Amino acid sequence: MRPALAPLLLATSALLLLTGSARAAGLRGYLQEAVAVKTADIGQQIFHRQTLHLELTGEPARSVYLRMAGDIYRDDADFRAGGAEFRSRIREAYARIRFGDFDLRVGRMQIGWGESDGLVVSDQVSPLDLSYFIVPEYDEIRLGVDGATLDYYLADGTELQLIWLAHFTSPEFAELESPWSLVPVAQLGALVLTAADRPAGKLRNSEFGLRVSGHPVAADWSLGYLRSWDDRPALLLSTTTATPVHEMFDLFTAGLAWPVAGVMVRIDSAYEHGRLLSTDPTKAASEPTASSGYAVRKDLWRSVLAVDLKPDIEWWQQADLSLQFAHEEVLDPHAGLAGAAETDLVMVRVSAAYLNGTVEPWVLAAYDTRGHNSWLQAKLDWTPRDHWRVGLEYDGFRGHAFDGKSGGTYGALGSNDMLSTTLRYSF
Amino acid sequence: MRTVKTGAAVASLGLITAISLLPSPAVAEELSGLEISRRADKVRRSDSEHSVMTMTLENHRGQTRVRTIENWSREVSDDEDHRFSRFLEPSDVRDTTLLTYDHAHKDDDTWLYLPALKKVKRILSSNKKDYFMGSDFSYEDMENADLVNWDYRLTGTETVEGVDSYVVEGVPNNEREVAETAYSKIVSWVGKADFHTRRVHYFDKKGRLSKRMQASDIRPPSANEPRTRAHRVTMENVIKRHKTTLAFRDIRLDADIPENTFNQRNLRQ
Repeated sequence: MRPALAPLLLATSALLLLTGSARAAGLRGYLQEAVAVKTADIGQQIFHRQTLHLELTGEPARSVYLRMAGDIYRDDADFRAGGAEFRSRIREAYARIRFGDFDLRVGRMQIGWGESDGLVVSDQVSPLDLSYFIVPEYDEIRLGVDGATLDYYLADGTELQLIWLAHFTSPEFAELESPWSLVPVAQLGALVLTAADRPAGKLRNSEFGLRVSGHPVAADWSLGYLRSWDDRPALLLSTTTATPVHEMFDLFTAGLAWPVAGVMVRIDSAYEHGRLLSTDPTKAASEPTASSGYAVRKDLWRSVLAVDLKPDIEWWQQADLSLQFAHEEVLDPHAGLAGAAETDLVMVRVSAAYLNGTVEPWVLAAYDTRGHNSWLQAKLDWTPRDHWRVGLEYDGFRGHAFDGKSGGTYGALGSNDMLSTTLRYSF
Repeated sequence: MRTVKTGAAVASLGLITAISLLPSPAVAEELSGLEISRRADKVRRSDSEHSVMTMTLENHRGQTRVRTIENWSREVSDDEDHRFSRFLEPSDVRDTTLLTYDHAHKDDDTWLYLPALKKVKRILSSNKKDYFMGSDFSYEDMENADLVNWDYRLTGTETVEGVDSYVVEGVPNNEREVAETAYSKIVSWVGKADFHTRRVHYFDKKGRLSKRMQASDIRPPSANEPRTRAHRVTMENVIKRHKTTLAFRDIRLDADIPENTFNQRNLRQ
C-alpha cells in the first residue's frame, strides 16, 4: 500500500465505524485461491494468487453513501525470482453525496465507460492491472483513480458527468521476466529497460473529462471527452536505454446500445488524438524519428460493433450469445510503426446455465483477422452451495508476436496455453 | 465473474399479490374461464408496491440455497409497469440492481448495474422459458396473465385447503405463443370469494405435469391494510425434483414510491 493511501484508508474506516449503526452499513468480500499451470508443463505455475477482497459500505445519512474496497493478496507464480510477494491495494474509497439533481463523488473510485465487453475502447478512465494479462477476472483487475466526479441528471434522464482526476494512475504491467510480459525483448537487444517515466503528481498534470449520456426507450447513447495520460506507454529509445513513457492525449468517445428485432446492437467508438507511438529502429523509415526516441505522435480510431442475442433453444438454457467486431486503425500511419497500423478482431462469446444455475459454461473466442493470432477461453463455473464457487478454465493462444507484418498480443502469449482453477468463498 | 440472469419480471409479483374483490356468489357462479382469469389477474395488481423477497432453492437431497431481493414496482399504465430490484443476497451478487420497463405488447426495456463492472448496461430481456436466478420460476411464470394469447376454460370447482375454488384450464391459442411458451396447458385453482390463485399445475409440451405452484399464508401485509397477499409461494419442479419457495416480507401496497425511483441514477452506487 502506498503511504499516501493510509490517511485515506483511516479516514474512511473511521467514518464507516462511526456510522456503524447507520442503515445499510455492511462488510462483505471473498477469499480466493487461484492457480494456473502451463498445458505444456503441468508442473509450472504461471499464475498463483491468494486474495482477500474486502468491501465496506455505509450510509450515515440519506444523501451520503460511503464505500471502500481493497485487496490483500499473495502472488507466488513459479517465474517469480524473488519468491512469493504480499501486496495490498485500495481500489475504492469514496463518498457519494447526493443533493438535488447532482451526485458528487470524491475519493478513489472506479469509473467504467463504454459498451464493449472485455475490450478497451471508450473504457479508458480507470486503468487495469495487466500483470497477468486478464487471467484474473475482469472485476479483479480494474484499478481506482483519485479525484472527483459530478453527475447532473436532467428531468428526461440525460446525464452529464464531469470528471477530475488529481493525478495519473498507471496501469500495472507484467515484469520483464514474466511470461505475461508483452515488452518486445528481442527488439530491445542490448538496450536496458529503465523504469517508466510517469508524470509527477502535480495539479497541472491532473486529468479531466466530460460525458453526456441518455437512456431513452429507443436506444442508450453517450458522448465523452477525456484529457488523459496514456495508459499504454510508448517505448522511447536512446543508444543505451528503452524507457516506457506515458504522454497526454485527447480521447473522444461515442456509444450506443440499441435494442432492435430481438437483439441488442452495441457500438463503442473512440478517437484518440495525439497518442505517442513507438517505431521500430531497425526499419529505415524510423530513422527520422531517432531524435524523438523513435516515437511519433499519431491519431487512432477504434470501434466495436456488437450484437447480443438470447437464442431460444431447448437444450441451451439461459442462453447468451454475443458477437463483437473490433477495428483499430492508426490514421496516416508512419511506415516505421513498431505495431500494426490496422487491426481487425472478431470475438464470439457464448454462455449458458444449467442445474438451476449451479453450472455455468462459458466460451470466448477472439481472432485477429489481419495478424492471424487468436485466443480461446473455455471455462466452467460451479456453485456447489451458497458462498462457494469453483472455476475451471482453459486458455489457448495461437500465432506469434507482431513481426512487422502479422502477429499480435495473443500470439505474443503463444507459449502460455494454460489450465487454471479458482476456488472462491464469498461472505 | 458471476452475473445475474435478468428479465422483465424480477419484481413481477403477480404470483403473490391479490386484492380481495369479494364478488357476490350469484354473479361468480356464471363467470367464464376468461373472466375468472381476468379477475385473478386484476387482483394481483396495485398502483405501486414494495417487498423483500427471500427465495430458497432446494434440491432433491435437501440442500438449499438462498437469494434475497428487494423490489419496488409501479404501474404506469395498463400496458406498462416500472420495476426496480436490488439483490441483497448472496453476497457475490449483492448490490446488483435491475431496472425494467415492463411492456404488455412489446419487449421489455431492461438496464442492469453490475457493481463489479461499474457500468449500467442495457440488456436484452430474458427468454420466457429461462429460469429466474436458478429458481424453478421461469420468467413466464412470473409475468402477469396473458389474457390475449391464451384461451381459458372453466372445468369445474374444487376445494383447495378449505377454500372453494374454480378450476380453470388455459391453453395457448396461436402458433407464436405455442412456440414461445414452455407449456402445453396450465391449470389454475382460483378462490371463488377472493380470486386468489392458490394452486397452479403446469404441463410441458409432452403433456406431462412438470411443475406445481402453491400459494399460502394469504393475509393482509399490515394491520391497516385491508387487502390481502400471499406471503409464501412454492414452485416444485416434479421432473427435476427441485423446489423453490418465495417468502415475502415488508410488503407495502400503493406505497409512496416516487417515479424517479425507476431511473438509471438509482442503479449506480
